[in-house]
Amino acid sequence: MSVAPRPIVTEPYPPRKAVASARSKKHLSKNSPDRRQRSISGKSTKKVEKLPVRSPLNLPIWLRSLLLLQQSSLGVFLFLIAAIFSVYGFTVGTQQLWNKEYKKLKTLQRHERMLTETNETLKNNLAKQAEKSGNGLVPVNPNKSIFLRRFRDNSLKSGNSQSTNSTQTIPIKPPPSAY
Amino acid sequence: MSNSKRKLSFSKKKSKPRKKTIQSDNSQQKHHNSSPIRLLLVWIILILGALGLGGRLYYLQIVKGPELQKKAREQQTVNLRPYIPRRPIIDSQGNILASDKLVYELFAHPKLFKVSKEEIATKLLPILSDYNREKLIEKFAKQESGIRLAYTLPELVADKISRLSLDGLELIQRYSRFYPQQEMFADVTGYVNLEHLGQAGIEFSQQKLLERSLLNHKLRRAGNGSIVPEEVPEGLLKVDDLQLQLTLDARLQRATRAALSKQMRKFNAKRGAAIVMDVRDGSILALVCQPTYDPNKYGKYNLELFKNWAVTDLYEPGSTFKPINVAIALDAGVITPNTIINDTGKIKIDGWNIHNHDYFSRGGRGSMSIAKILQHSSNVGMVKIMSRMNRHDYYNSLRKLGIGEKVSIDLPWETPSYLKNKKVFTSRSIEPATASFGQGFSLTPVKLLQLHAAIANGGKLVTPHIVSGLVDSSGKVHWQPTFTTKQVFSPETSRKVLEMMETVVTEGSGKSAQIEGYRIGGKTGTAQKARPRGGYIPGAKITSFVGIFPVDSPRYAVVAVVDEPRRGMAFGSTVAAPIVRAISEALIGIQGMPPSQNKEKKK
Repeated sequence: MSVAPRPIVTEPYPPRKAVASARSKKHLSKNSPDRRQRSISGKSTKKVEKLPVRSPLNLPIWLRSLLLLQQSSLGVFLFLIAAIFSVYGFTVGTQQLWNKEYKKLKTLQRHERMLTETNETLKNNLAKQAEKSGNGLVPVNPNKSIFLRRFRDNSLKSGNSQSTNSTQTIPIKPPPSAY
Repeated sequence: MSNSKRKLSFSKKKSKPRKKTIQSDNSQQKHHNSSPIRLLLVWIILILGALGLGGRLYYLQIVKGPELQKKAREQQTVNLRPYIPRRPIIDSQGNILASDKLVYELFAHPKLFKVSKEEIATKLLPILSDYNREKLIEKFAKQESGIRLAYTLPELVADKISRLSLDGLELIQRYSRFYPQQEMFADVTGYVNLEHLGQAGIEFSQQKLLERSLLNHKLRRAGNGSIVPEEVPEGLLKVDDLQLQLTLDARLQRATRAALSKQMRKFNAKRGAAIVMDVRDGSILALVCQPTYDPNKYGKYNLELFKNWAVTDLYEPGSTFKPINVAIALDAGVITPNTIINDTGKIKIDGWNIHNHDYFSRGGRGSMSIAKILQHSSNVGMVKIMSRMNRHDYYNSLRKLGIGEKVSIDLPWETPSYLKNKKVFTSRSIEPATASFGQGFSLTPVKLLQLHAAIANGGKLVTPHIVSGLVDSSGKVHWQPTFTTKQVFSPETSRKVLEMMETVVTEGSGKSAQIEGYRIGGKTGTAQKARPRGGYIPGAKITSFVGIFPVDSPRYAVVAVVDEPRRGMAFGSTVAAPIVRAISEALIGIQGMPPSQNKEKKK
């Protein structure tokens, strides 16, 4: 991908690189030390010239399209990285969230069970205690209930509340002995 | 090493280039000489390493692949068993009669113990109350694995055990049915067995409504043990919150049981049953059988108790059937409420002597109205009424009332009532004669109540039922059963018979069922107990009372049947009528029923 035009290097090659390349050359032609020396001295003395900068517009179309492809692919690459991370995060996150919520559901169901059990057992025990004589509680009995006649205006007008069919009685019940 | 040498030579090269070049050449030479072997060595090592890895990969992936994959699946797969309980049963007020709870079975596998048996026993001892140390150690010594230590450990206890984190102990979760009201509703709810299947009552007959299919979904588990939820099917954890609602009222049920058991104790009776029904639709508000059982501990009781004898056992209704016969005769037009019948006290039919229960003390009562016949429960009067009817018509009328058939109640093992076949019934006069005072055929207490309800509700034969429907937690009804009704008496007839039954309570044998201020109709019954193979058991009787109230606007029918009362003066009027009175009083209190206006006027 390194096809982009680079600014021309204006300084001499760093000596280490030069030596390294020289050595590699030497490796290639190990029996000719003269050539090696010549190449080192030749490089160090060569004048470096600035190459003319070519405007991107002057570049051939294939190169320009490749450049465009490189730049756009970088964008796509970054987008994909972001997308992958977010999808991964979402996947892991939802799994954790699901597990958390599932645990919560189980706890709530357990509380519900225990609450139901305790509540109903308590009710039964209270009712059983109420049934035992000697605790001051008595079963509901009509003789001990007070029934009040519903107040109606028309019954006042007619003066005879019992003869009107619409007259109803509403009971005032003593509290039941068991729940 | 060669690098540092190189570096050194480069740095020196700057100052003394030439000399250094020579030095460097020397080192290069050395390096050059040793490198092929070294390179070869490195190459060989690398190649060997790669080959080794490749070989291992082949071994793991191809040779051992399937086996390892299986192992991994086993480790990763987790059984997700969401909490899907059997539907709870509630009463009409929402009190829970049966619900599910989670319990644990505890197994010990001594071969997997990482610590000594004694140490495990010491740690378990404070949690398992049923054991002592020696007993536990002795149990551990018996088997290598699979020793069941407990069957129904509550969740809290199971938590304590799992917190011990002991190797070799296994807790297996299962559902258990819990009946918070203990024996109070046992005759109706029934119980479920260890496999969580209903074995009696509603639990058995309404299995389809109560059961929810148990899901056991296999899922994958991540490395940290958490479930990978991507494979959880949608709606797996979405369980409906429907409950099976019954028509029963817990308060009334309690009052009914109390009234029945009090009288049974008083008369040392063998067994008893009491039922309260709403006559308008056949819904049963209370259904009690005594003796009963605690469905939480059903294993401790006799199998006999698990049937609801008010539904399964037949008996000869005796005098409680007389109002039904009067209604048949009124509907057939053979009598009117003003018809006068001569009660001779004794009558001979087909060579059989039939007499009134008080014939030896009172003799014949002479001319009596129909209401009087009911008040004094005159057998002879009834025989004379029914003899006015054609035997075939009488038989057909009985069949029309559903005698000989089931009432189709939603409780299991219902027995159809028994009526002799038409040929036998119509061939001799004695058959319709005995049937006229409620003997010679048999029915269940529920059937008797259904017939009396028809008198109370204007002549409609309603279906007695206990299931009200499926409701959600907010009380919204999602499903309701449908029941059939059949007109069997004319409204006029039923009203007239009901009024006659009121006189039985005000002036006749049912006085002990009277409640001041309320109009109650009723009929007592004291019948001999029939032998299964014909004839009667001497001295054994079955007493009953049927009450209907309030007469001005009939709403409830109550029946109490007490089998074999063995102490004191045991009659329908002394044993069963007070039970109906006590139940009616409780019903008035619970429903807040005002006193009858006509009664108030009379006062």
